[in-house]
Amino acid sequence: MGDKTIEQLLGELAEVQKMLEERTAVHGQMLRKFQFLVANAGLFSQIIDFFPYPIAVFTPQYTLAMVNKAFAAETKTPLQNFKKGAIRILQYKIDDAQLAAAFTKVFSGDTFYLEEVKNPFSMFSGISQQSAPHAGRFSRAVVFPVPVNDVEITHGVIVFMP
Amino acid sequence: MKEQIEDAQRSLTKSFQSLFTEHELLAKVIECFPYPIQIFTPDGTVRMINKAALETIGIRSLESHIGKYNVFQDPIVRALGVEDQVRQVLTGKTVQLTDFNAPYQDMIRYFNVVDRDIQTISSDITCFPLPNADGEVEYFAAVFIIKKIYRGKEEISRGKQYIKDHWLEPFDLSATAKAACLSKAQFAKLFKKHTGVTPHEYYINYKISKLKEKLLDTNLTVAQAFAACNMDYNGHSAKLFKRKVGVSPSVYRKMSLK
Repeated sequence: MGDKTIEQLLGELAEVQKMLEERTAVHGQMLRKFQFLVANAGLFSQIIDFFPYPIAVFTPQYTLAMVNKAFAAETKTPLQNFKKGAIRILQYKIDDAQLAAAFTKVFSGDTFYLEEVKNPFSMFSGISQQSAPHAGRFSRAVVFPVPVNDVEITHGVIVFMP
Repeated sequence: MKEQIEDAQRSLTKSFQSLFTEHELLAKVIECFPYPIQIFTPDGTVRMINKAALETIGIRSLESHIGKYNVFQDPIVRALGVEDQVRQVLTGKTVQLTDFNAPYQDMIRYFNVVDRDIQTISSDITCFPLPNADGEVEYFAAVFIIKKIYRGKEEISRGKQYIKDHWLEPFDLSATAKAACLSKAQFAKLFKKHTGVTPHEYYINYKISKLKEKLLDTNLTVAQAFAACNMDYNGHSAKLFKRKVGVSPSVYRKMSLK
């Protein structure tokens, strides 16, 4: 026991107890979050996959992390070509000033609602053509940030809309 | 044994983390989507909503909405006559509803959403099916592309200001409604609700108040006071003045100058 009094020992015990409770609360929160993700994993994929408008998720390095079926269809590019990092946003090929600004500032946490977007699919590497008969039909876009760990913005998302 | 357990733990953690990251990203994309998204089971019951749905629609909590709200039993959806259109999503079609104008007071009445200074939420809604591996519609989603949120007071203030700026001109409901960024019908309804009078009555009252000011100017004859307000001094306008003020223009002048 050394030199510690019973009061001091009780105080330390209370601190350990508090620490354990905090850790349990964090674990509980993680568990609930994980359970929610597992329970809805299929649903999240379905929503993105079947979203009728093209969606592309990109990293701060401007590589595409994910696209949906509508994006692949619109760009006439097989989905397997969009493996992580295989396709990039080429900044020099963005010929729309508002799009260029949005891609830069989205990582500061801003959301952009863009109208009359010009040639939005021409900025992606590895995409040679857009669905020709409907070219220009996705002239609106929304660009928004995604903070995966609730602090750092790890991804940006662009959704093209008619 | 200890090492085996630790290896198993490490492996499990690694697998969880990998799954977690991918699904977390998908979940976050939906959660952070700036337009409201609601996911429904085929019977119309809401299964999941994102943050924008909570904030924009004013839903008080997930618990008050998830598993309780049913789009096919929504009186607003029925009143707007779009229930059958929405049901088409169950056949596998993507359905577009344009100019879905949901009166917010009705939403407060039926669904206990947050009471805010909002008159109408106007949106284009895209409903699309979420089929399972067998191609059956397991869920359907509704994305609300919000076009405009009409906040009553703001729109009415703009309308009032327009009337004040143009009181010398003949009354023009179209131009006044346009200044308030509303349709004529929406503006007239909203204006009466907020002020208790129609936009035309408000215009007349404002004009009469200006005429009363002019009548106090003794340098002007009564007819000139009317003319200064771009009104003819005739039986009709004199009657109108008496109806609004209670006395004739000349009596009003005499009484006021005593």
